[in-house]
Amino acid sequence: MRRFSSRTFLKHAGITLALPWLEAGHAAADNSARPPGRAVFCYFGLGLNGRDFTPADIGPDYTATPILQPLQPLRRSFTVISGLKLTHSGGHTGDRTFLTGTNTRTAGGTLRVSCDQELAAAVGRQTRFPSLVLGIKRGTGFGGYYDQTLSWTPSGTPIPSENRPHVLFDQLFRPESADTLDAREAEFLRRASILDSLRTEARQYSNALGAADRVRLDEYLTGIRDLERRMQEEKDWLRKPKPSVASLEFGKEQGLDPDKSGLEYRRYQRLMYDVIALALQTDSTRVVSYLARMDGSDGTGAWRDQGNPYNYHEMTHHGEDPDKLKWFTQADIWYMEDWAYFLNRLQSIQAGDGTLLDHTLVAWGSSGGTINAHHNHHLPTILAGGSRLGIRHQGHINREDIRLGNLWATFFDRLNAPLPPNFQGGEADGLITELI
Amino acid sequence: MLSFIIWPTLFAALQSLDESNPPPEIFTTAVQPFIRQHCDSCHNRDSAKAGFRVDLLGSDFSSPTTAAQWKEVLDRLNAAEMPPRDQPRPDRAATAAVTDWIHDQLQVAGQTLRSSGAGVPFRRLNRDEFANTVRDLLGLDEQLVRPLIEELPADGKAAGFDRVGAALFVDQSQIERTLAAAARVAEMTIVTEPPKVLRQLNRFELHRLKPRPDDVEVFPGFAHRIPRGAQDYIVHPEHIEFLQGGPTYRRDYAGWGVVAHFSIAQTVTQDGYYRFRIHAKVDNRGRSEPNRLRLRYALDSPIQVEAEVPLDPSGVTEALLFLRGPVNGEVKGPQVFNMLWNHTENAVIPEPTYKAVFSEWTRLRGALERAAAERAPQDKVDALLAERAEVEKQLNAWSGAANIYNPAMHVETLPRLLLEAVEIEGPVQQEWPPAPHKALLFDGDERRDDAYIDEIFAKLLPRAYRRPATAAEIQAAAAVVHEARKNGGQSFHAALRVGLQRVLCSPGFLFLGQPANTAAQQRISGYEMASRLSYFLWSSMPDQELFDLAAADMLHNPEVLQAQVARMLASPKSAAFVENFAGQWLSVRDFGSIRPAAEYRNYDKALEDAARREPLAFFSEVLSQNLPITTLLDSDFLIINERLARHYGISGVTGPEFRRVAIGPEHHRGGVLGMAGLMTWLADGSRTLPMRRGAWVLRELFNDPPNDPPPNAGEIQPNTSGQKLTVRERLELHRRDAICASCHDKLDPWGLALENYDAIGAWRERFNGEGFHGSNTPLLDVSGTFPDGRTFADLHEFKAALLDRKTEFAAAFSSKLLTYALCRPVNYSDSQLVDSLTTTLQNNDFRIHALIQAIVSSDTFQSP
Repeated sequence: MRRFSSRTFLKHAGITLALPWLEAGHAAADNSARPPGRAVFCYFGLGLNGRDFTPADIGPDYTATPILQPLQPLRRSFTVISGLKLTHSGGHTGDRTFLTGTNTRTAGGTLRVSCDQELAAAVGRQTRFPSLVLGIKRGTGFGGYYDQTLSWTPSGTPIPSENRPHVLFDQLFRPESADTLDAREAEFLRRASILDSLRTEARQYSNALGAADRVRLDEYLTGIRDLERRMQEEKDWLRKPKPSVASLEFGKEQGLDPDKSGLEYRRYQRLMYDVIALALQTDSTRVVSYLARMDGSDGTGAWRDQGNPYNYHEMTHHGEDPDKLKWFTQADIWYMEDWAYFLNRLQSIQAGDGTLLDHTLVAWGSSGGTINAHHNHHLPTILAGGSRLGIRHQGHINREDIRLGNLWATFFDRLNAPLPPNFQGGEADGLITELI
Repeated sequence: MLSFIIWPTLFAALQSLDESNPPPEIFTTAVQPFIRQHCDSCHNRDSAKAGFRVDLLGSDFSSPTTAAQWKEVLDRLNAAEMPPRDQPRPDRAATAAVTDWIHDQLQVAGQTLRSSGAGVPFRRLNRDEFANTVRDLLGLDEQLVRPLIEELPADGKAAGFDRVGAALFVDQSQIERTLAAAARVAEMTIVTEPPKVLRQLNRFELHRLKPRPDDVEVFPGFAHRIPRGAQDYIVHPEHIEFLQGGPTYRRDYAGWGVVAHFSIAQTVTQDGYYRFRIHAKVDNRGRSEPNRLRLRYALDSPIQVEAEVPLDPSGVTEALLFLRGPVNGEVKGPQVFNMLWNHTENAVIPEPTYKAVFSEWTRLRGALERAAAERAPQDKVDALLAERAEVEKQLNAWSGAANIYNPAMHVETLPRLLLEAVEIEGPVQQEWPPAPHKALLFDGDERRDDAYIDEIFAKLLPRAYRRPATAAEIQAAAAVVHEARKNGGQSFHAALRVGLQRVLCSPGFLFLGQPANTAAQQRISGYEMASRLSYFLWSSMPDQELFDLAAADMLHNPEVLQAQVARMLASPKSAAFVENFAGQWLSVRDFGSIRPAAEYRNYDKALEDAARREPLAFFSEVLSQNLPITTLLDSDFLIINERLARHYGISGVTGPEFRRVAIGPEHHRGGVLGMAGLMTWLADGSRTLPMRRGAWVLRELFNDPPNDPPPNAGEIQPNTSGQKLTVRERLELHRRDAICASCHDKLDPWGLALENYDAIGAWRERFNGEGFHGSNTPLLDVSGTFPDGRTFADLHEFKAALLDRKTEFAAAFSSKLLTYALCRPVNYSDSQLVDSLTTTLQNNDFRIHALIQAIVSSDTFQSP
C-alpha cells in the first residue's frame, strides 16, 4: 500500500498540523454521531471477459474467478450482481445510458439528468462540493464519439470531468489566497447584480409570451434561480477553511495527466483513488462519479504496459481467439487490482462505528455485457461497501433481466434519499431486495 | 416514398388524436384481429398475464400510456418473444403489418410531442449562432470569437439538427457558461491598454554555439562513428545555407523539407495575430519555379495553424498568422513553430550500400518485435538474434561516409536557401483602440458621464435584440453599469464591460422569436422575418440591409424577399448554411470518430481532412451554382483535391485546393454516396457495415427510417479465427432467422450495393479488410432486389434506381431542409407544404434555390 508523506501541509491559518492518515480522518468523521452515507459510481467501458469474471455458483461461498481474485481479501464487503441490463443503447455507447437510464445518441433523443446528480441534489447540499465528476479524460467529450463524463445536469447538459489527481487535490484542500477570495467575492457580486437584472427582464418577456414559448423562459428563470442558489452556497463556503490534510506525494506531474503523453497509469490511478478517499473522509463530498475507462479504447492504452499486444476493443471482440481471451483477462485483473486498492483504502479509514467503506456504496459497473462482445444485458456489476448503511452482502447473486436502474434505486433507498420523479426515465422498477 | 406511403398513416394518426374520430381502418381490419387472435387469450380482463392487458389498448397514440404499451407490444413481437413458443406462430406478413403500423404511429406520436407550434418555435441561440452573432454585433474578428464555442456547453440535437428548439435547453450551467463567455467578449471588446507585445528573434545561434559534428553514429545508439559525408546544410557566420531540409515523413509533404523547428511558447502566450518576419534569400542557381515557405504552428493539435507564403526576393518574407495561446491556461499541443521550404528532394542521399545494411537492421528489429508480440518459439527468436548480430557486425565494419550527393543531379546547379533569422512578434493590433471598441464607445474614451452610458446602450440594444428596444429595456441594461460604478466601485470601462456582459446573457439577445405582444397578429413583424432569414441562411443576425428593409416593413413583399434570399445565398456568410445544414445532414461533424484499423495503410491525416471537406465543398458547389438536388444522388463531377483524387484513382489533380473535376463511369463516384468520408463513417474502421449504410440511405435520402433493431438483434460478428466469410455471407447466416429476414428484406439492398466501397471508402471489387489480403480474396457480389421487386446487378444500376426515385428524394430532402429552416421536426401538419415543395422542385428542374425560395415564402415559415 502507498505510504503518505509525513511532510505537513500548512493550514492557511498558520497552524501546522501533522496528523497521520487515520487520525486526520477520524477528527472529521467524529463531528457527527453517525457518519453520513456516501456513494461512488465507477464505470469501466466495454465490459470485461465474462467467463473469467462471473462466478459459476451463487451465494456467499461462490468460487472466486481470476478477475475477482484481487478483491478476495474483502470478500465479505462486496456482492457480484449478475444479469442486470440496460434497455437503451449499451454496448459501444452505453457510457451515456449508464447513470441516466435513457440518454442515447439517437437524433431526437432527449437528454436528461444522471442519478449521481439527483443524489447530489438530495444529499450533497451539506458539503463543499455537492458531487465530484471525474473521468479518465478531462471535459465532456460531447459531440465526439465517446463520452468523457457520466454526469448530466437536470436539463441534460454534460458536466465536464476532471482527471488530474493533483489538480483535484488542490481544489479540495489547497487554501485560496486572500486575493483569490476577494476576486471571487467581487465576481459573485457582479454576477448577482447581472442575474438580478436579467430576471426582471425575463419576467417581463415571459408575461408577453404564449404558453408554449413560456416554457423556455421558465427554464431560463429556473436556471437563474439555481445559479443564484449555487453561488450563495459557494459564497458561504468561500471563507470557511478547507479541511486540513497531509499532502499526498504526487511526484512528477508529468505522468499524472491522462490528456498528455507519458501517462504512468498505475501511479495516476492509485493517486486518483487516494484523493477520492480523502474527499469522502473529510466529508468534502458525498457523491462521486468516475468514468474510469472510456467506451471504445479506454483512452489510455494503459493495459499495454504488460506487453499486451491488443487494443482493448479488439480483445472484447475476441472471436474466441484464445490468445486474445488470455490477454483480455490479464488486462481485467490488472484494472481490478487498482479498484481493490481503492476499496482497501476506504476499508483502512475509520468512520464512526465502522470503516469508511462500510459507510460508502461503491459501484463497479459497465454498459458492456459479459456474454460476448458487449451487449447491453448481463452487465458485469459489483456493489461494494455500505454494510453500515444496511447492505447485506451476498457474495454472488443473479438477477436475470433486472434493470441496472434498480441498483441505483437501491442506492437512493440506502441513503434515505427520496426517489426523484421519472427516475432513470422509467428504467427502474424496484430495488435489489436481496441486498437490503 | 414520403408522400405516397407514409402520409396516409400520418393522417390516420391525426384522426386518432381526436377521440371523437373513429379508429383508423387498418386498426380495425388488421391490428385488432391480430391482437385478438394471438394475444388476447392471455392478456385480457380475466388473466392479464404480467399485468398486461391488450383488450383495452386503443389507437390513440397521443396518450403516453397507450404509446408505451404499444411499444412493449412492438418489442415483444420483434423479439419473437410473444406469442410464447408453445402457441401457434403468427403469419409473417401479418406480424410485419402490425409492427410497421405500431412503429409509424410511435414515430408520429413522438414527433407530435416534440414539436411546438405550427410556425417557428421560440428558442435560444445555439453556440455557433451565439458566436456568429457576437462577431457581427460587435465587429469582432472571427478568429477571436470562434474559440468561445469551446466554452459553451455543447448543444443538443433533435431531428438531426442542433438548431431545433426542442433540444436547446437552458439551465444553470448554460447560464453560468454564457456569463463566462460574455465576460470574455466584454474583455475583448472594451479595452483600456494595448496588450504587451512579445518578441522573439531566432538567429539559430545554437548552430554556431554547438556545431554539429562531422561524424555520425553508424546507427542511432551505436558507438561506432563514421564520416557524415555530403552536407545537407552548411553553417556560415551570417546565415545557414540549406541544400535540403529535414524529412517530414509524410507523403502529403513530398517536395518539402524542414528548415526551422523551435518552440515559441514564450511568445505566443495569448490568442491573437502574430507577425512573422523571415530573413531568408534563395540562391536560385538553376531553379525557375517559385520558392515558397510553409509555416506551421502547434502541429497535430486542435490549435494547429498552417500557412503557405511565397518567399519574398527582397530577403524579408512577412506573414501575419492568427495563433491560439494556451486554452484555459493549458497548452493544448506542442507550441512549436515549424517551417518548410519547397526544396529539391533527394539531393543528399544515404550511401546506397550502407543504406542497404541499416535497412536490414531495421527490418530485423521489426521482426523481433513481432516475434515477441506473437510469443514465437525461442528458436525462431534466437535465429533472428543471430541474424541481427551478423548485420551489426557489418554496420560496425562500415567506415565509408553516411551520405553522398545524389549522383543523378548536378549538385552545383541546385538552389540554396540562405536563412538568417526568424523574427516573431505579437499579439499585433491592426489599430488602437481596435474598431469594435471604437464602434461601441462611439463618442470616444474621454466622455465618462452617465448619459453616455445610456446612449451607448440605446445604440447597441436594437441590434443586439434584433428589433426596436423599449426605453425600459435600455434603462435596465444601463442601470447595471450605473450600479457597478456607484456601488461596486468599478471604473468606467470595467462597469461598461459588466453592462455588455449582461446584454449578451439577456433573453432579448439569447432567444430567437417574436415578442409575443404581436403574436396575436396574423403575420410576423419585419424584424422577426429578418432574423428568421438571417439565422436560416447565415446562422447569424441580420445585416444593415435586412434591418432597413425590416424597418420599412418591406420583407413581406415577395419580390423584395426573393431578391434578399438571392443576395444572402451569394454572400460568403452562406458558408455557415453549408456547414450547419449539409454538415449535420451528412454527419460531417462526426467524421473522424471512426478510426480505421492499421491494415488500411492508405488512410492518413491528409485523407481524413480532405474527406471531411469534400461533402461541404460539394454542397457548396450545388448551392452556389444552383444545381439540381439530384446532383447529390449522382453527379458527373466531383469537388476534390490531390489527396482525394489519389484515393479515388483520378489522375491529373495536383495541389491541396479543392476544385471541380469531371468524372466518367470508370471512376465509380459521384453524389454523396461515393464520398470517402461518408463511407468511412458508415463503416466501423475494420469492416463495412452494410446495414448501417442501408439504414442511412433510407433515413437520410428517403426519409423512411427503418424500424429499430429488436433488442436482441445482435450484430454481425467479426470473423472468428479459421473462418473467412465475407460480410454478406455472415449476413446470410443471420438472415436465416425469419424474424430477422422481415426487416432485412427492406434494408439490405440499400447497403449491399455500396459494398464496392471498403471501410475507408476506397473502390474494391474483391473483399478486403479483416485480414483479407491479396488478389485471391472473394469477389464481391453487390447485386440485390429492392422491396418493390426491381433488381440491380451493380452500383451503376443501383444509382440509376436511386435517380428513378428522385421524387421521393425531393420530398425527403425538402423535409430535411424544412426541419432546418423551421427549427422543429416536420410533422403531419406540414404534409401539404412538403408536397408543394416537392412539386416546386419538380417544376424547377430540382434546382436548390427554388426549394429555398419556396420555403422562405411559405406561410409556415412566415407564420407567428
